[in-house]
Amino acid sequence: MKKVVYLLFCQLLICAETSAGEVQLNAYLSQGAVMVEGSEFFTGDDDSSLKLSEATLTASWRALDALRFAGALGVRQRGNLTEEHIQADYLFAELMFPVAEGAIGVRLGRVKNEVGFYSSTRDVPFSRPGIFLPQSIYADYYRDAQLHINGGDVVGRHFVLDGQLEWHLSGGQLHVTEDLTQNSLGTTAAGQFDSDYFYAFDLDFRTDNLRLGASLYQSRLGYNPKSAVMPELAMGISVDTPQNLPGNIELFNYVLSAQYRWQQFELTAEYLRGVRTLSGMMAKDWEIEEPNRGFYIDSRWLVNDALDLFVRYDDAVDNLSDPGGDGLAVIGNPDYFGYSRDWSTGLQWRITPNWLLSAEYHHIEGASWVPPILTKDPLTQDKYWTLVAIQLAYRMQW
Amino acid sequence: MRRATTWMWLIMASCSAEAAIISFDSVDTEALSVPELRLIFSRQKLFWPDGTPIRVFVLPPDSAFHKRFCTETLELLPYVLQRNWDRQVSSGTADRPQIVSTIAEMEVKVRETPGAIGYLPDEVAARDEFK
Repeated sequence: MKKVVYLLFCQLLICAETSAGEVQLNAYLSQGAVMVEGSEFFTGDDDSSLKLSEATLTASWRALDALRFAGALGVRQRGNLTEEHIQADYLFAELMFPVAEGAIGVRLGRVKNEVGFYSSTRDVPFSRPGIFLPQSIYADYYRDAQLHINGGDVVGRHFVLDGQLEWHLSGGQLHVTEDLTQNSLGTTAAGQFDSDYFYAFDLDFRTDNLRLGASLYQSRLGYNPKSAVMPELAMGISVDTPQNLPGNIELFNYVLSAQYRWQQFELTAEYLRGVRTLSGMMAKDWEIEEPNRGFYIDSRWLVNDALDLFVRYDDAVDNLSDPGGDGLAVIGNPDYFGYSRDWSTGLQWRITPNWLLSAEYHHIEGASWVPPILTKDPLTQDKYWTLVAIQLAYRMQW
Repeated sequence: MRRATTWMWLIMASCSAEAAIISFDSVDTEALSVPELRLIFSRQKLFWPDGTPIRVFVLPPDSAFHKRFCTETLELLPYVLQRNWDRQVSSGTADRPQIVSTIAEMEVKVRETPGAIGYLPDEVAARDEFK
């Protein structure tokens, strides 16, 4: 499958190079450093890491008025969250037709998922609000399960109320890598998560100063054990002896989003609420539902056309049935594994139009989104911990 | 789609004194408001009212005249326009405007491309009789 994807992307590049039609190429390169105290998040055993490297090449070729082919190939490493690998971020054929003054279209292939404001643009430094997105909604450990699908996306754009309304109805199979298994279990030796399906509906309305969004998505991941011995997962919920059984994780989440800009100030807030259903794995008929919640508020001062400063509060509760994490003591884990409260501040400095320097500082209480999610070690994960990140990015467009 | 012709219209109503919006002349253009221009140059509005796909041409984003066009005609900081393009490109939802190297190339592209829109300095538009 990977070879097919790469061959298709190369074919797109060749078509783009040799075609007399409309062709566009863009490239984004970035390198950064991350320093962490009190956790093994991102840096592992070390206090710092330079494994914050991202490179993306995109190509778009308009073969006909209504037909466009587009692809993005990315090489990415984000510490111990994402092992270095190359993959197609998107690769699709698009048919788009005018409807009134708007448009309706369909994309088939590998398409980005629209969840909240940033899931589809999270991998390019120039189109995200910082080096680390708010983890309550865009958890890095869970990136695979939000990023893109092999399937279809029906999209519409309409102009109403002095603004633009865009909607997406998408469905298909998630492209899940070993990163998800590693980030969840701490190992890929015992088994592997794979995707069953992902369906989503997304609405996005924007004017010059206001942006509103709503996303609803449902997905299911399957767990397939490899061997006779499963690691002591306990899934954070049960003291039952874990069995070597296949199982599923189903997610049903919605995200509400709002952003308002007033003169040089911008306020963004997003709220996620959902239910996670775990089944199998512990026993044949075992099943449990866990409601979860996350939100963040980001206030941003657009100092001038080169500099943004921000302060953000990000809050996540892993299981609303036990918001303080008190029940985790049953399986020997501290309560702060059940939630995360992240205060961060930082800057984005556009040194020139094509160079972007980002820097941010996080002070975090709790560790609900720190991987490995199910096998965290209280000896290496403090209740209060800090993260400093810096990243330099460069953009090219032809 | 309408047959391609060789002349363009100059849309005067929404231009500043510094920049003139130009378009392929078969495009049924009326006076475009500044918010409409922002949507067009952000690649959020993709079709003209008659259904013709909009083809947007811009000068190099780091050129002085492009920056002036953004701030004075679109009333938008250049990096905000670029950020809109980055969002479209990184998500794959649309392509960005085509970048041309020179004013001369801008003239040629907009003349030759059905559905095209671009911009020129006022004096160039007047000199080359884009009326």
